[in-house]
Amino acid sequence: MSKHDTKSETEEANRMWASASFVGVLIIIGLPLWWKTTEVYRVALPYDKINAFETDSHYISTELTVLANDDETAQEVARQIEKAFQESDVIKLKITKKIIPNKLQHLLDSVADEQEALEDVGAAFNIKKHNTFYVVQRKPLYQDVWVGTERVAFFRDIKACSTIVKVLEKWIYQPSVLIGARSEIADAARQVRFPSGPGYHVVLSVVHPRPQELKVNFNARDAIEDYIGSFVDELTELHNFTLKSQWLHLLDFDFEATEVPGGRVAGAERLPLLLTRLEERAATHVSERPTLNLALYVVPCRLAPLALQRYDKEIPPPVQAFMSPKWGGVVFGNPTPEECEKQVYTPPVNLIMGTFLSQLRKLLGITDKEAQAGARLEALRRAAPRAWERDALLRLRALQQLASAETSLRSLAKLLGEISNIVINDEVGASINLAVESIHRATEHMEKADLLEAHRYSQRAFLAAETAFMEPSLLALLYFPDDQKYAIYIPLFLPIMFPVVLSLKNLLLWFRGKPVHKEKTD
Amino acid sequence: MALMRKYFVAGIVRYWLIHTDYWQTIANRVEIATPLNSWKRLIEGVYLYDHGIDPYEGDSFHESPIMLLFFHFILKKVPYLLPLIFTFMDILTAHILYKTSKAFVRLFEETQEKNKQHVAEESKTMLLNKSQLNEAPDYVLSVYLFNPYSVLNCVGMTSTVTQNLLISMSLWGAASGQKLLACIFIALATHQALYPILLVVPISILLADVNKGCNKCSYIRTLLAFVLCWGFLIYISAYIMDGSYRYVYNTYGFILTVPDLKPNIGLFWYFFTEMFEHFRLLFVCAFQINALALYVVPLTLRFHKEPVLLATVLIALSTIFRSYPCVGDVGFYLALLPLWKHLFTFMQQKFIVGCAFIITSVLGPTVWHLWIYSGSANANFFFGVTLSFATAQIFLITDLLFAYIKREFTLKHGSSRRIDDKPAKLVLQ
Amino acid sequence: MLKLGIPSFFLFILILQIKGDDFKEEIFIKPLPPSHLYVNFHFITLVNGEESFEHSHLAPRSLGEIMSRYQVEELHLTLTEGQWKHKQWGYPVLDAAPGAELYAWFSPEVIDVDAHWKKLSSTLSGLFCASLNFIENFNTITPKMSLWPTGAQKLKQNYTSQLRYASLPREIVCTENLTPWKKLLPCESSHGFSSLLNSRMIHNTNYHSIGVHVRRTCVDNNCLDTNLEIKQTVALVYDFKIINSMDWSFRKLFGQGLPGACPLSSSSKIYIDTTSNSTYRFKLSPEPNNIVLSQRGGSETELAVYNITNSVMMNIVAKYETKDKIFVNIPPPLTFTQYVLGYGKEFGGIVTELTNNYWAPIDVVLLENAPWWLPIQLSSLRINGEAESKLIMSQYYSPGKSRQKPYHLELLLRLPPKSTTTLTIDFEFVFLKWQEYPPDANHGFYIGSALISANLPTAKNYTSLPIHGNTFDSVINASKPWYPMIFRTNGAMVSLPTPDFSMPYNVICLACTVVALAFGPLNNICTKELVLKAAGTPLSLRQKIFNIFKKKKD
Repeated sequence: MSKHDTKSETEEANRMWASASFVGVLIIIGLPLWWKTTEVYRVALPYDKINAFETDSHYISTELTVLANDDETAQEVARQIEKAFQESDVIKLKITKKIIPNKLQHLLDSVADEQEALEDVGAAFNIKKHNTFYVVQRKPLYQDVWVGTERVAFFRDIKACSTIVKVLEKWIYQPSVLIGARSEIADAARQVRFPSGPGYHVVLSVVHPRPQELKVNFNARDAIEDYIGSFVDELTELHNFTLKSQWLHLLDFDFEATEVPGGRVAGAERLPLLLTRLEERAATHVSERPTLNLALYVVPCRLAPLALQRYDKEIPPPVQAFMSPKWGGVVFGNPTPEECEKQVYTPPVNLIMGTFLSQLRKLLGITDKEAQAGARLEALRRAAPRAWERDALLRLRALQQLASAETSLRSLAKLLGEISNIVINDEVGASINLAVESIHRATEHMEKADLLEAHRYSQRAFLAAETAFMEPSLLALLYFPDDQKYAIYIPLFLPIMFPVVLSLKNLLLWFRGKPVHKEKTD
Repeated sequence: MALMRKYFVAGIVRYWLIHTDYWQTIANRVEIATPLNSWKRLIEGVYLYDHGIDPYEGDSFHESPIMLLFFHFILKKVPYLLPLIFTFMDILTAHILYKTSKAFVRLFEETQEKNKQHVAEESKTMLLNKSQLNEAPDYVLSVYLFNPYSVLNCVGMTSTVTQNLLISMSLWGAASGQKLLACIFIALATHQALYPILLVVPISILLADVNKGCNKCSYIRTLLAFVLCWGFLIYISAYIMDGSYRYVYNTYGFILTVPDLKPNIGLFWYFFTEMFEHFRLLFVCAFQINALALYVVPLTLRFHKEPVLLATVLIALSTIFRSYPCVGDVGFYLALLPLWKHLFTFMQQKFIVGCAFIITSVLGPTVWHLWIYSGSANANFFFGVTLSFATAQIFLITDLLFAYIKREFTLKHGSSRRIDDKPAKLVLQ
Repeated sequence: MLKLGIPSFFLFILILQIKGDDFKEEIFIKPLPPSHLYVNFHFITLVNGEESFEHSHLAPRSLGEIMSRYQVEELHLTLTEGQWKHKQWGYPVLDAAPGAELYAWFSPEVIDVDAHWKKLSSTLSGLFCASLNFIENFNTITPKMSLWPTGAQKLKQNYTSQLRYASLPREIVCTENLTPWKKLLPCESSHGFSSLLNSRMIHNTNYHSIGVHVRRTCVDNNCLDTNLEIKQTVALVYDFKIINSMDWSFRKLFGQGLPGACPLSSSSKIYIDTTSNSTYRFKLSPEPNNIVLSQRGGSETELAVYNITNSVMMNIVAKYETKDKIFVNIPPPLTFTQYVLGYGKEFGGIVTELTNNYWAPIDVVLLENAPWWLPIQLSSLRINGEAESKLIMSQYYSPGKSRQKPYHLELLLRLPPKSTTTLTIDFEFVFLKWQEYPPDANHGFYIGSALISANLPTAKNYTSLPIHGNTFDSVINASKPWYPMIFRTNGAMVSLPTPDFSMPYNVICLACTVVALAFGPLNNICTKELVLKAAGTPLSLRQKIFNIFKKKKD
């Protein structure tokens, strides 16, 4: 009998181990397998860091040195400037006061030309350093304040304080524009300039509607490379420019021109339609980068000279041109009657390219400077932008890119947090992490007045955020309604799991050594 | 003498069928030839190998490099001998099965003698006598030689013929106690089709039973021998293919990941045709676990005293649930069933299962023709027939197992179904 | 207002347009007796030297930017609808496969050719509004023997590894493709020959194909400098039954007269092939500027040339004199056809028949490009019925892999004279996953055309330009020892067996049920024991409910 018992015990043990092996395969191997093969791959993201972004609190520090002949002037000027810029939370000035050394003071007072004075100041102080500005006193000045192309502003004496402050506010630093760059709502300046980016294509299109009637002598390539080239060479820290040119022949456009004494005037409503025609043929969609279009429209002889508006009493400007924000500019080339007779038209290169340059400046973000009473802004002699205009652009772009990166990341994090079905693969995670880290570094550098580094990091943050936001793999929503998921799992796994789960109880009892009572009939 | 006559007739039938006009049709049928074993793909693989193109670069060839080399040699030197070779292999399989079943019958007798004391008095009549036992091998032979599944399998010149030969040789090696023989052949069979790996378990038990001695060491030695043989074969195959292991993706990888959805008599093809991509991996794993890993341990624990039954059931289950089954596999395990003819009285669904086999085997080609050639049916018809065939096989196996445990109970406790003079019934709990 | 001073260092020579690009336009018209008319437009822009595309004059900047961004050396793109009947119509100037066909050679510096290829096809897809973005790795091949660059390439270069070829037979050509194609021309569609291309009229033809071919050509014989040649072609075959008369004119063909030459083109010529004037007499009015007799490789062609220099509207009319002559067609030296064998959706075969009507053997390279879902069996390749035929001089085969690459077979054959060579290869139908079928699954799947590259020994019915020629007049008296031509056969269509698309959940339920059917009893056998239980024991409610759901076993 005992042998019988041991035999039945071993048999029972076998049955229990068989049950355990079912449990082992199905639950211990099956459940993790199910989890692993049907999960949505999502990389961990720094949600807390993204939510902690405060876009409105970014600011840039900048250095300002006040050089005056005596201590009192320096103190007063510095105090006025500090008071004016105290409330501005977007730009923080670090003002240092210095007395001009005697030798330099002597030079400044004796030299007649402002340019030479600039050179002398340049010899004494480092005015090539980014994000600095010098306010220097110089006695023999016609106006209160004089500003040139370098990072120096000359003022006459202590009575010019208010003018200095106005110049700094409206011309040099422009905190209103900076605030506009930081905010989400586009202000007037932002509506004109091109969005931020690592590079642009500048395309000069020569539009020639009647090649059979008129021959045009214009070397587009040399024109753009020399004029625009020398301008954009100065801006390499900001963007990468590629210069291109093309000829668009036989692109005829009906201006609905009305006759006026001295020429014709194009209908104002027709001008936007010209841009549409240009877009059709200019092939901008092929370029990878945003394109700045500069179009020279050679007006046919029968329409020349064509003007944009009536000039009854005023003297018409030498060049007729108009600009479209975020697209580019159009300049009309009007051939003279003699050129029409000879059937050869030579456009005035410097006038035309000069107009293009001024349009380009606006499109890139260098705003127009309105005249201030008592201050003189020296006119540009070369194509290149002014040094402090470059600084202003750097500040502007750094803030704009930073704000844009933060906004993108915030909306992306919100989207990814809410919809749990979107796949977040490694590249997206890496881009987002890179963007967050770059934002932090850029903020640090901006606070330390390290403008070039700040711009570099902010551009990196912007690009990484855009890459993550536009990643096409995010769109592959694994949208599977839950009830259909159950319809797929149940036919196989329910009948299999059911007895296995029920037998778990008996298994546990047996493992603990208690006798098992089987209750169910079968 | 009767034996030789059977061999002769079976050989003539196969040989003659290969030389009729119907050979091409039979060799192309989906039930007989799957992407794994079809003759067409073997020819293609050998042709590519002959012309210096790697047959595993494309998608057409899924045999092991050893088979590639073997058939390359035969096709180059003696292509006219091929029908003879296939017929001979099939007859040899039948003969080996005959000898194996004789050895199994001897094992039955010994076990029966050993357990005689545990048998209840009234059930002593149920014990098998010598004449009954000696009938079984003859039936095994007849079933293998003449059942239409194996005949068609041989006529189609599929590589399942070699697989059946290898499995039967390994069973014979196990039954006669020759460990090395058994391990080599089971390693060869596994190298070709992967699913015979399940048979390592019953073979180890058989070897331990036949070679009396320490059981556990016998198991370990068998397992070790198997692993070494299999590893050696994998290495040899890579050596044939100039040291590259790329063939593994085309052979084992193909069997496990089921990329080709050509219809066959199994369950995988339509299921994965209509499966959503997101869940595909889960269900491939689930089905392969079902075929390979789920039933081995429990069945072993329950039937470790009856390794022959274990082998039969495992072969049958792997045929039903494998990724690319064919009728050759079905014919093989059907040949092992006559060993258990003493269980037939306890089986309750013989008639239904038999009818289902016949009906689905005939209906299959009909609805296939309607779907593919006439265009008047659709895939669901063939799918339904395949499902019914699989269900019939499942019923057969479960019925067999139930019959076994009922006989076991009856032997132990007698055939009365009464407790204290009250009617009672047998239940599982 | 800013004022600019004159920069002193800008001294410009205002250079005239002479140094820029050169644009020519041509039309070639050839009557194809008895009832068809072949019209071929060529627009050729030659871009000077090594100038990059950043400053373009007449050449289209968009195409140039694509070429330079992806470092493409040579590009050929055609969009075609219809089938060219080689046997009846002779040979076209440039043959094109039905649907979309794109092949390009990349510069040797490109390492990851596949990535550039994918980007190139996607960008061209956007530029031409054609669905070229369906070109992926699984339908791209690298032909080894069939295609050779027609432009100047540097010596010692491995051309074949930088070549990619893909064909999409399912694509359609329509106005949507013609409009961006016309935008690439300097005159666009307002002046010159391109104004004749009215999509309403030209798509109403038996065969229409628009193409863009870009290659480098040598400036002079030393070939130290290269020009970039951009050729845009339109090939049309009109059926006289469609225009309802045998007399044709520009007004009938294009809906309007020719408004003169494009002001930007340096030469605008119309060539009309009047060789068939001897049999099917027709009179041209206005009179052509001159008649040119061209001897090429043993066949004579007579061309009427019109030199268009002004912008006066003109209409060229051809009036046929005799209308009821029977035409005996002399087939060209090499004709071919391709079709699909087999019935049912299980097995099939592709048959390619090549007919050599010439008295000497011709060597051809046949490229069969079977998609990945049509596995062809190389062991079943039979040429005229025999397996290892002596006609095959060289063979290249790359087996395809499901969902990864197509089947690629190239054969160099020597076709015996005055005979037909039949190639047969078997294939099997593949059962795809239900989501891989296109929306109209029973429409069928297209098999692309095969490519036949031949060096013809005779110029009979041959109208292609010689390899160094840019414009059509290079055809005149251009006898050469060989006349290379790449033909495309017709494509075919097969119907793959489809599963039932409405059944995913049903199938899952049924198949899983069968698997679970085995699990239940086996689980019970392994984990439970058989005991005798008295019948009639009172069952609790729980057990009654269980009994409803479970089977009783006895």
